Amino acid sequence: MATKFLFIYLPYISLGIFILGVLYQFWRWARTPVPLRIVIAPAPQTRRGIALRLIGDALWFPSLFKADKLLWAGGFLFHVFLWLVILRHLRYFLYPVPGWVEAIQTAGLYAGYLIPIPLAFLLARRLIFERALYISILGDFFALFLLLAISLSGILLQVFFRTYIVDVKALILGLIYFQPAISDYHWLFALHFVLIMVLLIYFPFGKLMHSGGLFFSSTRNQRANFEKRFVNPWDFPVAYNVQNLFPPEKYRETLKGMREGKKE
Amino acid sequence: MKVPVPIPAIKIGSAGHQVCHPAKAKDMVKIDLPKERPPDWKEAMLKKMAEVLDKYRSVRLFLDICVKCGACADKCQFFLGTGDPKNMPVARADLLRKVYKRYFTLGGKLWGRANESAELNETVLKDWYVYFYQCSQCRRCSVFCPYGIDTAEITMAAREIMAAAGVATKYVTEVVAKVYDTGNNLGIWAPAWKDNCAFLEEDLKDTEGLDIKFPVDAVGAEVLLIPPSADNFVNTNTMIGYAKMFHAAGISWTTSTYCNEGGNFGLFLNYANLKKINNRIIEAARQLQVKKIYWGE
Amino acid sequence: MDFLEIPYPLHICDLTWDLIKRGALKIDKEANDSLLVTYHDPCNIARAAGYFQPPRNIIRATCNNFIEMHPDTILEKTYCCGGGGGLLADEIMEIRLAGGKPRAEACRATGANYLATICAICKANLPEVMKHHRVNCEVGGVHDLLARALVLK
Repeated sequence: MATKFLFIYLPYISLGIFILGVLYQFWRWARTPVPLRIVIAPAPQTRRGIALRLIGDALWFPSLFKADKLLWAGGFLFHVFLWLVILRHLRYFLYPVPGWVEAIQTAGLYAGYLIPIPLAFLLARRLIFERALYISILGDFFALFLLLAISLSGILLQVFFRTYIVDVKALILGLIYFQPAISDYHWLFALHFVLIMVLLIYFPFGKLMHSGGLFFSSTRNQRANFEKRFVNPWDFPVAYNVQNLFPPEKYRETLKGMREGKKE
Repeated sequence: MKVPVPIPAIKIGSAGHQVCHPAKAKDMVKIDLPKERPPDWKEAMLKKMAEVLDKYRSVRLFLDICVKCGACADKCQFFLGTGDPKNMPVARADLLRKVYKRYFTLGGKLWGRANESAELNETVLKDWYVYFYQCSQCRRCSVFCPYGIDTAEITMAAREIMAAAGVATKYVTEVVAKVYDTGNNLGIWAPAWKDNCAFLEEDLKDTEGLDIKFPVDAVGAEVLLIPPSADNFVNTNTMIGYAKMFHAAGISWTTSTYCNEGGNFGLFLNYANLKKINNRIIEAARQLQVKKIYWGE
Repeated sequence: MDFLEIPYPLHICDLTWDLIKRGALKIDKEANDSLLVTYHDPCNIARAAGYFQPPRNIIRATCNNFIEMHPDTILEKTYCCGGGGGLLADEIMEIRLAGGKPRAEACRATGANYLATICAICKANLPEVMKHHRVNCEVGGVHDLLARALVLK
């Protein structure tokens, strides 16, 4: 029963939470209006320029590079390795395996071996640097420990406790085609699998949503076309009380004060 | 990244004593804000917070996606100057983020403190009042944030929320009230403004022998100049610079006593005041039938 | 706003720089020779509007001695003077002086004796900051420099 829950129900539940959660967050952001133009100069003036800048932001984090080279190196390596590892795992999901997935297997393998290094650095800096420690919250450590646990269990599965690949592929393809086929798995594989499910469940509700959020960020996705009037969707009329301005008695007071030499 | 001053070690609470004076009731009334903090201030602030979250995508998004990487931490001049950790942009935003998490996210409602959320109470409000009025909304941090998180948006939201419950500083509210009274931030009355301009004309004639005008409320001029009011009063050399330039180029210009200030302190309070103050620029331009509007420096 | 020729406000530096470019103003640069000028980008004019070059152009056109501060403290990376955002209140003078410190030190490093800027708040706060941090530098506007250098007779 436990096996059935872990390998059949949990994957569907967590994937459902992941997809619905991410869509919910996107919907929440998308429906909230953008009242003001808050570009940060220098900003591109064309949509094309904005698209290129967002792609750049997502791929190599230029703002972070300007801010902190060491942190950039850690973050950049982590994300590159993460993508390689994810793409490498596609071979369990696709049948037949496409050529390009075959082609990155070696790179993905080494990325998998190396990924704990940037993760450990990102964790260590939160504990060592006093500013980073001050701002770190539970969620930051949770995400880092979770990713570390996933990557270390993955490495152990690769090196010491080789899993029977055919079983894994049968499991995943079975899930995809709604014909679940479970066999006996090593407990370490079960751990690796469940931790990924936990990651999927956690993803929409924590800081990991920064991945999608970047594209909604007004300071990054707005154009610097100041000639065009920016219309606030919830703009409301305001009354400027002209009567309030320069009331005659105040005028007389000031003039009187000036005559008596009180001014300046 | 070269920083002109050494990055200070964290000194908790080292800037906590630098508190702005609270607003006066007479100013608050003038700018359509509650005179004082009502007994149900907490509900008023949470109501305003819900409204702000529904109106500004930036606020909601920036509260959601910060990863606490700390890239902004040593970029704020107020942190560099004081070493108070709550002056790190990320920690400043956290003051608002914790309350947001407590009342507006599932995690905060379910897990409370474990999710780093905080009840809105006197202590939190005091921190808000101190540290959101120690942010100059300069947006330097957002240049370095990988997601462009703009602390100025957070600060503006927090100030708007506080203002809705009658919490604001004396300086800002006084300035906004002065704009409604006199047309500018320094509270220079129309006669005094004209007088200062006449004084500058005489001064130029006496010292340099130049016959240059400083027109006020001249209908039909080509350019309406909206200078900061300090140019008329303190930075008079700058004002002389404009006048000489217009004179040399032969462009007719004027200032307006209805609107002689470009700086808009409504930005530091709330949207309604921001818009009101800006609208008067257009009104002044229409009254004076000018063709172009120029900001002063 | 359709009654205006240009339906949005322009900055006065646009006009001045345009006039200088066209040669409409006669300028004697030597009038500013006693000054070593540096330029402070005000936060929002720089970061929100991307308005970097016109004031610099005017300074270069009116002064012989212009020096930039360290590249990490100008343009979009500029520091606040310490008094913006409604902080220009006397009761929090300590914060204003502390916030102005990076700008004061960056200015000291250049050895400039005139810090030009185009923001009234900066012009109000920076003199206090310079005095407090003992940087011997006058703070003033860009058009002040033009006023000195403009030949009208």
